[in-house]
Amino acid sequence: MSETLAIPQIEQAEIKQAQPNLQFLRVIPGILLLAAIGYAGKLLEQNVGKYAKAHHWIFPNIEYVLWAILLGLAISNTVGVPAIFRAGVATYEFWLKVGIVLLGARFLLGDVLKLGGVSLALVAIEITGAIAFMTLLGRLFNLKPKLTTLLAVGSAVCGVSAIIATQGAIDADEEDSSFAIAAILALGALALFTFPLIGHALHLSDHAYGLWAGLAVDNTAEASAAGALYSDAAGKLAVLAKTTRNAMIGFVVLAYAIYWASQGQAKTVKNKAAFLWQKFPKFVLGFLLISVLATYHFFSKEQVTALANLSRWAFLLTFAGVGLRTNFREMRKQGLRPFAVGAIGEVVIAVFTLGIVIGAQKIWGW
Amino acid sequence: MITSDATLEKQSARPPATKISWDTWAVLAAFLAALLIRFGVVKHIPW
Repeated sequence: MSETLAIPQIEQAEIKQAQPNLQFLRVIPGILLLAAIGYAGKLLEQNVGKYAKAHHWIFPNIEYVLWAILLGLAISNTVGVPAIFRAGVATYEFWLKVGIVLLGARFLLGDVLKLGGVSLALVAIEITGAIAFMTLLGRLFNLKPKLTTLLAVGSAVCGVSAIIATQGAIDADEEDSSFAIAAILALGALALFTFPLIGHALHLSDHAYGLWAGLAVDNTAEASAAGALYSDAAGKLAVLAKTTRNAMIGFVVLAYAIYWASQGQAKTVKNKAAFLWQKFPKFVLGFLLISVLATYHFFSKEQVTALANLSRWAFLLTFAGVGLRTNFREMRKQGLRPFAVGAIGEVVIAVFTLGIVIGAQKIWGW
Repeated sequence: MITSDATLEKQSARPPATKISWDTWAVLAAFLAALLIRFGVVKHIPW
């Protein structure tokens, strides 16, 4: 393993090494680091504003989400993440999924079906448009076809998880997978800072912005963070739209697996139902089940508040992890061409999804 | 070179079916927490 690919290593090998049933103790230092950074972000949110006000300074109100990401970025891009913490830092996706499942308590089933139905329609348009455009762009830039497939799936469905799932299904090179992951992560990091600014500049409602972030930002952690940076309500909507997108992963990967098998360049999928179940993100089912339980009053009002707060704590660890695993120096080493294709694609997809969200906003009058 | 899922699975002697995925662990942890709250073992989570 070369050091130049430290971020994808964290994404894949470190997560494998950090399987909770195998090496539980190895993850503790990193989890403590996530908690410390997240909590520091929360304290900074509470105290910096007060301090600035007391000293009559003009200082923007920065939420804990951004503080946690900034602290993580500062550590990752200066001293780096020491090896002892890496396995634990890699658990940030675990906390993300725990947070999403618990967030289900804040959605009544009717809302999930209504918003999920709208999201599903928009997601179908987004996935079709994004795959078509990324495939065209890959051909124009003369990228390898399987790298183009990975970039298309990464930008259309759900970032790193989709790329890893597709890599195995279409027998793509590990190098191509690394390029695609690096491009998606770099662009996700940029989206964290640009999306809220654009949303405020366009005076988007929480509803419209949340849907846009969930549709256009590729990695689930970054999509959740981009939503939460705008507002709590936008964060909820971003998670819902992104979860709807995640639910599509099995179908898209299966379609690509069948295509590459028909070209004689991947193994044939024998049991399609088993393939779909294997690729389906199980946390989507957990989210729906908690939402059903909340709808039928399995939890009291106080218990729903407790579950929502626990979900926030889980997201806090996630946001710290987003900053810690983003290392711009490492990303630069991955090469410019896949990044350029990814960047052009992401900008077009962001504009395209913004257009369909604004269109939907006019139809449904949010 | 990174170590992919496929490579790791080849290197490992364990059959993949016996592994509980990261995703499933997250769902189990969330439900355990929800049940602890529901049955009053944990009464209050501050924010």
